[in-house]
Parts: sequence; structure tokens; C-alpha cells
Amino acid sequence: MKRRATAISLIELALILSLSAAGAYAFASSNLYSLLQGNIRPEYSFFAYFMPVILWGLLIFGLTTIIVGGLDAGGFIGLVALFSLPSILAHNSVNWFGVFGTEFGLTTSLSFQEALWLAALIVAGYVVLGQMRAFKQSRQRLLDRGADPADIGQVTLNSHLLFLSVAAVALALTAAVGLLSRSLESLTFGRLEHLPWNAILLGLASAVLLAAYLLWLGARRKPKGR
Amino acid sequence: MLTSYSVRIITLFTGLLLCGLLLGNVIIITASLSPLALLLIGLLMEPPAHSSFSAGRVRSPVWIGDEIDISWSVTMSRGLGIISLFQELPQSFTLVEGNNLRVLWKGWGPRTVLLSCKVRCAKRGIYTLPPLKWEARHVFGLSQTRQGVLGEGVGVVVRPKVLNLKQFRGVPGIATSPFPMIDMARIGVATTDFREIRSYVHGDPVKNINWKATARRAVQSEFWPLVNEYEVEGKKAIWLFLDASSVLEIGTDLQNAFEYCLEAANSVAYYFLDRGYRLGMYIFNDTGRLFYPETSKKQFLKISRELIGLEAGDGYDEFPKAVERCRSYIVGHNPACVVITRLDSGQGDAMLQGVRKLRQFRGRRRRRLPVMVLSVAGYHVASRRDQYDDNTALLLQLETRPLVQQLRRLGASVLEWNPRQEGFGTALLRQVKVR
Repeated sequence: MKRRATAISLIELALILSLSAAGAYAFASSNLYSLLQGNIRPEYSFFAYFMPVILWGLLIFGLTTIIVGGLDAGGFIGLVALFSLPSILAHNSVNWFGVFGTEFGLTTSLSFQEALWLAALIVAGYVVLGQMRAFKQSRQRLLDRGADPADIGQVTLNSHLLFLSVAAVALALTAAVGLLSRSLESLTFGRLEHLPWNAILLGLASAVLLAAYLLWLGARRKPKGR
Repeated sequence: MLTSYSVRIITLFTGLLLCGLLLGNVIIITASLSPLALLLIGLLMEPPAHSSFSAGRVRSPVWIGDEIDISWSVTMSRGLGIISLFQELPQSFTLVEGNNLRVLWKGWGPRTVLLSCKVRCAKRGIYTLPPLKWEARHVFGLSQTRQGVLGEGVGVVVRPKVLNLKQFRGVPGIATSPFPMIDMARIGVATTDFREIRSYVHGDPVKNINWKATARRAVQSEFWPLVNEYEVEGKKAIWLFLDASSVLEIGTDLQNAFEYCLEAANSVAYYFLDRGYRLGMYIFNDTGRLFYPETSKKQFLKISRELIGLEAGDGYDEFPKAVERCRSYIVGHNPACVVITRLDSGQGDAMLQGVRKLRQFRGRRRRRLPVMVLSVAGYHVASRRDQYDDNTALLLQLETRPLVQQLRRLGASVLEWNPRQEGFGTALLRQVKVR
């Protein structure tokens, strides 16, 4: 029983650790980090010196709120997302800074694939940590109701295993779609450029209608008893 | 139907997708697919559904303190997720063995779940064991929990305890009490009250042979005739006064003076009716219920059924009125009276008045009054935290001494019963003295 609880806490710890490291690495890879370090006045240089310590604070925040406090992962993931945002936004197609007339632009040393993994990890981490918290609460509720701890242990173990497998598959699918879309974009972009807009719009609308029709057909064929 | 958790995931996907589109960021758009993929894969897994069940037989009626076995077997065929089975128990039932809640994991294949437990019935009454509740939850909580009930509610009748009669048999001698314990009439004119059916013995009148029953038994190759036996006249009568005042409800919900009074009343009724006495009863301090004096087990069942569902009333000094209401029966049958009450409740005057009335009904005879006041020591039943509570109970018991002496002076015998210390049978044995 204790071993299972320890294993679950270790998974959480690993996730928090990897998310913190990814967030810190992403922030350090962006030009915002260099900019902040360069613009700090000499009298506040200790801030630049302690920047890595602040990033470590991210990890401590995650540990205290999620593992020790048992709180929702929203705060921690929000902070990680905040630190990762400059690197992710560096891959924007639309330059919103330019639209508003500023010359500031975000850059990062992270490649598209690295940024994609980072973003997918943050989103999946949010869902996984939230679900693990829900499992913990459900386990406690059942224990409070007087269910057999051995039964609950079995349920918790299987639930975690299944959920982590599904999350891993979802993450892999996302990455695959991302990478494929990147390859597809480079393959089709040349051809799409020559197509008129009305043809693209009509084609998209037809595809959506066809999908809806197939869905409706599938729903009709389901037996009534189910 | 989707749950709030599913809606949260959809919101996350939509939010990220819109952000990605607004910023023209393929990374955010792709990352938004991650929760969507998780939701879609999760929704492919349906929560379990039950296909068949079987339930074990629940024993009824039972006595207080008896244990009942409850068992269920449920087979879940389809789906994947968490199954919960819950057998709700009436408030006064306590779990002795096993568990009335089972939470189990159901994998891809069918699974048979067993739920078995043993419960103890701690309070008399008519209860209904509700049907088994089942719940099948989606493993990630993405769709609504399926739930329902299996089978139907089962009625359980819990009767008050009866006295262990073996302890009182064969005590020879002259009883100090005027109670008609042993001197029961054996010879007398047979009445039309049916008593029992038994095998024929030489000397039985032929008219008493039950030909139908004999013929029915003859089919099983037993040709000895059966005869009907009827109650005989001239039997002693017992009159039971039962106090049903809420003042008696001192103690816990399960163990209080009122419950012990009912146990005593049930035991007394069983004891005398089993020996062929004519027994009548009056319940006072509630609405006032009278049971006409009768013999046989039918009368016991009638009284027992009444005691099972009896609730305490608001009255507290109605004993003299009760005696007055039963006057015609007391004068007519000249019964021995058993009053079951609590003397340390501060309502001694009403008891004295009632006993005086009973004495008046007996006339001017100087013989001992055949009245027994059975007092349940209420403050001994109440929960005790320290030695001061023990001493308080003792002081209250001592405070009732003058009342007990007055009752004894009137000719009644008083039996004080402390259920914490001894059983009812042991308390009655203290009364048995041989000269």
C-alpha cells in the first residue's frame, strides 16, 4: 500500500521536476532572459545572479503546492507556462508586436520540435497532475466510506496505469500530428499558394459536411438497446 | 452524458486552439490536440454495466443480538472502470464481519463481484434491508456514473430477547413469593381453547382424535393417532403492566431502560404463556393499550408483535389510571400482577397509588399481595464516564429505598434489575428462596 503511494508520489515528483526544468530551460533559451539580465542595473545585479535560484523556486512551488499541499496544479502549470511562453511565442506566424508598431520581437534558441514537445508536455502535465489529484481525492473518499484498503489499492493502481498509458498515447499522437503537419505544410504549401481562396473554403466546407453526414449515418446504425 | 471534468478538457482544447489561431502559432494549436486526444480515447472506454446478480437468503425473524448473513453476487459483463457495491444497513444494525461496501476494478473481461457481510441486530423492530446499490464509474470520470439498485428490499423482524427458561425448572420447595410459579392447575374442565396437537395416549377420549391430521400422517406410514389438546379451566392468571413512558429512555439509543423493560416484558409473557397461564397486559404512559387475558402462543405472538414496534409515550403518572381501567379483569380473574417500570424516575407516588388500588381490589384479605414491581435501574444503564457517575447511580438507587420499603409494606415484592450487572434470568433467580 505504502509502496504504491510512494510510486505515485514519485511519478508526480518526476513530472513536476521535468516541467520545472523544461520551463526554466525554455525561459533561459529565450531572448527575454538575456534582455532582463542585460538591462538590470548594477545595484540590482544580485537579481541576475540569483535568476537560476528563482527558477529553482518554480520546482519548490510545484512540490509544496501539489505534493505537500495537495492543491490543484493550475498555479504551478500557469507559472511554467509563463516561463515557457517567450520560447513558444517566438514561433508565431503573426507578428503582433509589429502590428502594434513596436520593433520588439521574441526569439529562442529552441527548435520547432523542441518547442512543440515543451508545449505538449505542459498541457499534458496539467491534465495528468489534475487527474492524479482527482484519483487521490477519490481514494480518500472511498477510505472515508469504509471500503477495504486492499480493494482501493487495486483500483488506484489500475486507474493510474491506465491513465498514464492513455496520456502517453495522447502525447505521442499530438507530437505525431505536430510533426506530420509541419512536414505536410512544407509539402503542400507550394501547391496551396496557387489555389484560389474560394476553392479552399468550398473544399473545407464540403469536408466538414461529409464528416457530419458520416457521423450521422454511424449514429443511426447503432442498436437502440445501447 | 459528459461530466464537468470533460467540459473542462474541452474548454482547455478550445481555449488553446483559439489562442493558437489568433497568434498563428502551430505549436499551441498542436498542443491543444493533446487534451482532445485524451478525451476521445477516454470516451471510447465505457463504464461497466451489470448483467446478472444473485442474493443469499436473509433470515427473519431474529432475536436481538442475533447475526444475519448478507451475501450478493453480481456479474459485470461490459465496460471498464470502477465498480462500487453498497448494502445500506438500518441504523441499529452493526457490522460484525466483512464489509457492506466493495469497490473493485473491472478490466476488459467480465467480472463477478461478491459482497458478503455479517450484521448484528442491536434493537428490536421491523426493518427493511434496502436493495443493493451499485455504481459503475468511468475510470477517468469523463462520463456520468452509472448507478442503480439490484433486487428488492427484504423485511427483517427483530424480536426482543426471551428468558432462558431452563434455569427455573425443577426448584422444589415452598416459594416465598405468592406467585403461582409451580402451582399450575393440571386437572380441570377442558375449554374450547386449542392448546396443541400431540400423539394419542391411552385414556384420551376418542372424540379428541384429530382424524384429518392422523390421516395426513398415515400417508407417511405412521398410523398412531393424533389428538387435540385443549386448555383447561381454573388456570392462574397473570396481569402485566408495562410502563412505556419516555422517562424510561435513559441511556443510549440501543441500550436504554425502556429497551430493557420491553425485554423483561417479553420474557415474562413468554415464561407464563409457555406454562399455560392466562396472561393479559396493559401498556400505560402512552396511549394505553389493553390485551385481553388469553392463553397459548398466539397471545405471546400478539404481545411480542406489539412490543417490536412499541414507542415510548409522553405520559409519566398514569399507573393509577391504568389499574382503574383494568379493574374488571383484575377483579374477575384475580391475577398476579407484574409491573415493569423504573422506580428511580421520581414518579414513585403514582406507583404507590396504583399498588394501593390493586390492594383495594383484593379486599380485606391479609395475605401477601400478589404484585411484583420489576424496576430497571435506569441510571445504571446510562453511560458512565468516571467513578462519580457510578456513585451517582448508586446514590439514586439509595434514594429509591423509601419507595421500595413503602411498596413492600403494601405487600408487593420489588425486584431491582441492573441490566449492566446481570441478565434478567439471574435477577429473577435472586427471588427464588426455598424455606
